[in-house]
Amino acid sequence: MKKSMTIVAAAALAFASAGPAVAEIKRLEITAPAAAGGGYDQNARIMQQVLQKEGLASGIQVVNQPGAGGTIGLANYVNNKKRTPTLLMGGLALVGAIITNKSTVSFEDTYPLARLSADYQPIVVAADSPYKTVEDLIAKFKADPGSISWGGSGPGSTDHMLYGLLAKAAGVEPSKINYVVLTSGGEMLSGVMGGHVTVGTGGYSELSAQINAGKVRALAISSPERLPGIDIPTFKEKGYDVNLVNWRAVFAPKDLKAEEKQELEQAIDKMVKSEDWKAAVKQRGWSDAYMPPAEFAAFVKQEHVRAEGLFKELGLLK
Amino acid sequence: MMETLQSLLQGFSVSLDPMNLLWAAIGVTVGTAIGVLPGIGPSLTVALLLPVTTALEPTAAFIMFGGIYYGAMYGGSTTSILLNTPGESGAIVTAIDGHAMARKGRGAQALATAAIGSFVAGTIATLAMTFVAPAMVSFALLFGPAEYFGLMVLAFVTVTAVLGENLALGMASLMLGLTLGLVGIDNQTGAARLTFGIPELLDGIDVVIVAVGLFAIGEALYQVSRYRHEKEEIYALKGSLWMSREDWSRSWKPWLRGTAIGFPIGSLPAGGSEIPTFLSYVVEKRLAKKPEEFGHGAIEAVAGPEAANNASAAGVLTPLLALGLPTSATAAIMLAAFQQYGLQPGPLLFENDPQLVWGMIASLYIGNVFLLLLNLPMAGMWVKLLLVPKPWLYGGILAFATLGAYSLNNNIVDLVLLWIIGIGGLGMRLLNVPVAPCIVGLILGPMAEQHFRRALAISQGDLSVFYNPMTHPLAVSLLVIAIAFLVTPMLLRLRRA
Amino acid sequence: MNATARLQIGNFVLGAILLLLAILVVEETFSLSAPTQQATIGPAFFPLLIAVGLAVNAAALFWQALRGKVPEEQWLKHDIPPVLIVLAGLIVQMTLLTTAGWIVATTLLFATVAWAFGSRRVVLDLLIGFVLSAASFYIFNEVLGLSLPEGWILDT
Repeated sequence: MKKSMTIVAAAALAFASAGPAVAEIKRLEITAPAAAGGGYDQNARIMQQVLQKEGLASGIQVVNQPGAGGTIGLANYVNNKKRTPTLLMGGLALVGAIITNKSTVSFEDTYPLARLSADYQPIVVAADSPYKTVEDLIAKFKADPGSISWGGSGPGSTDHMLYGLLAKAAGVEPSKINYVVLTSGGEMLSGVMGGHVTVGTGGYSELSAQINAGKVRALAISSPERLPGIDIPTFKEKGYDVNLVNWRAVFAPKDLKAEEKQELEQAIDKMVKSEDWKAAVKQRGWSDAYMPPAEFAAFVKQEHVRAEGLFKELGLLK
Repeated sequence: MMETLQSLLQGFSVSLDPMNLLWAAIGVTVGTAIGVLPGIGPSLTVALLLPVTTALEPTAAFIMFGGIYYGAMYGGSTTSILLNTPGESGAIVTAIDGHAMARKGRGAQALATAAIGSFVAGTIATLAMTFVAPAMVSFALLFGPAEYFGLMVLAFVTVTAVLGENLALGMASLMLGLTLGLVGIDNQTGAARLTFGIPELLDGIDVVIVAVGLFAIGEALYQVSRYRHEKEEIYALKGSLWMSREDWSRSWKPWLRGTAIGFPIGSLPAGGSEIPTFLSYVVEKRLAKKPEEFGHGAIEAVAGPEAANNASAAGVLTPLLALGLPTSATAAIMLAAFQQYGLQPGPLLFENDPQLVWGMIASLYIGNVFLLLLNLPMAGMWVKLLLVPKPWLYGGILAFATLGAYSLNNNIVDLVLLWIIGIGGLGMRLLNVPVAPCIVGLILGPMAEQHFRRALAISQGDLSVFYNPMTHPLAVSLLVIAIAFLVTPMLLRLRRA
Repeated sequence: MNATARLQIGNFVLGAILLLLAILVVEETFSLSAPTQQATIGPAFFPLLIAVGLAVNAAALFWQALRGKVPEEQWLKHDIPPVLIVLAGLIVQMTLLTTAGWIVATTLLFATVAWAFGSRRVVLDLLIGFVLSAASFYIFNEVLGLSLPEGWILDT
């Protein structure tokens, strides 16, 4: 019954929008390999709303499948073939989880459809911390690496990658990092604010409220250049070659027919160009980071290699 | 203070708007209805209802959210008491004596003391949140890994109160829980422990799966093995539906003590709702005139932990609203809900959007009243649930238990785990092994380990963080209290002997 | 066999399970591929502590079983076949869930459980089970956006 209704709706829509409209994708399922509320889930739900509103897809369902840093969702996505169109959310954190969890499947088993949004990560210290600048922090880190505790969300997370890159850029062996795992955003912020760990990090969107209220001090941010409206120096301008984008993206099944791929690509392309998408991304404090399939596939491979190398230096892999 | 009062009054003018009142009422009702289902706790309830509210304007949406949250926190206790199947981990302690009361035909009184206790605790804690939030937040920030470890040790002491008569059996249950807690990736190093190459085990075994498996499935299996032999009608409502004078006089102090325990711990970033309920149970048992009733239907053991559970719910909102710190899974989802509207909770939100924040805080008071109005009369109706013939009652329980377990991760593996743990639950019942210590071990074990190792990582291996009162006064005091709790009864016994 | 003897055996079995778990934990912990990352206390410390606890507890249970010091409560009568039927019902639900979907799988679970509890009104049970699972499916999937499996009933 539900289906016949969507057909009627689709037909009505097709009549209404004359011209070379993109065919509407029916009964699209988006897997967010994370619990509700996280970055993947939010990206998926924005996609759901925008695709629906723009008439690019209908009957969209978001399925949350958390577990093992997203590798459970990925494995099920790759292994359970469905007849209806399905998409999978992914990103840099999942690249890390694939490596650390020794997942049997990877993004190689999917068709990288498009990179969507980017979250840059500032490093923060307590408001009353003696470290006023990155230089202060690095000087102490070089002198006595163990004395600086770095809070992050799990070994092999984007937080851990960022610290590893910074240590390398500063000329300290990454395995010397005194990495303290804090499992939630709340624990991280209170750990930094209470002075229990020296440094913390996270997506800019998660930290901006506390930065703006002066509860924590941002020393530097991982974006390649200064972000509009954000008064935090980049690592680059401070002389540290650290570039980390916590990107989030959408993937499709590997074995799609050419026309199916094209259909999805067109829909995503239209979606990211819509006003609603841009507004939603901006509202959450992310940056638009759209990258079409060809370019994106190469980028994913590159990130995988980079993370793998970094994990060896961090002592996560042998 | 005056300013706060004024803002709050303004908040009431927002939330007393008829439409907003309606949203609060809907939120409380729906939250309770879904929260009642076994395995579906507050975080899942709020996550499920998140999309429903997107159509509303922010103020209405958050007023409804407050209602859903409080409703879901309360809902878990109903099935705990009546069916011995906690809807969420904060209601596990309630099941021990609450269900024993229901078996004696005092289910209505258990539900009533839970409802009134939730109301009292919710209201006092919301008041505390309104007026002492800043102080509360600075207190919460004092807690680092060493302090949390002290709190965990204190909570471990509570296990002594739920071990039951036979020490070896009670400890066996605790050890099983600790062993289950080992499963999964070690947070600090990423090493996979006891996962046997199964990727679904990397995140460990969810407390909800163990709780639903041991309680709901274990209980159903036990009941089915007994239904032909169970002749007497254990569930019938005996005597009055209302709380007697004695019930009141035995309940009011536990409500207040539960609130005093639940609110501060709930506001800690890693406090949670379980530890306050454990602590409240042990405190009540120590202070009770008839401690021998504990485990067999003592009303204090329902009143205290239920109050603690709901007070911790308000506690969780304190750092969320005051600082934008999400300190529980539910709070993280609420934070996402704020962001959905482009709002960022924290000190700036009070300045930028006072109407919304104070409207929501005011509606928490109103939600509490609704909760009481909804649940007190319902107690009599809920008890009737026990009149549903067993075949259908347990058919329904298993249907919803599997629904809750499956919805956690949308994964069949959780159902397999549920099955295995259910058999374990039956085995434990057959041998008179108490199930509560297992859950306590599962919750506290991993937390204690994490905080212990974090503390030592930060101090670079210096153990003095646990005993030097100059550097870590709070951690040391917590550990001393824990030891005192453990040793005092032993000393008293020695003196008597 | 009397109740005490049964409970003694029960204690013994529980002790054996704990002992096996202790061995398993130790064995698994030693096969951990320790990462080279720096850690003051490694991931093996707590598992070994717990393994010792398990072993001590197992010894206490053996002692208790041998001395015949078991809880006073009498061993109640239990039927095993209905338990097996409920467990089978859960397996049926698990295996059918993703193929046949939530409604079919859970209707069968409900009817099986009802049967195990002695109900013989199969048609009525199936009907109630169907109403319950269909209602939960529609409320959770359509209204609340949960994703219970639809299965082939709706996937045509």
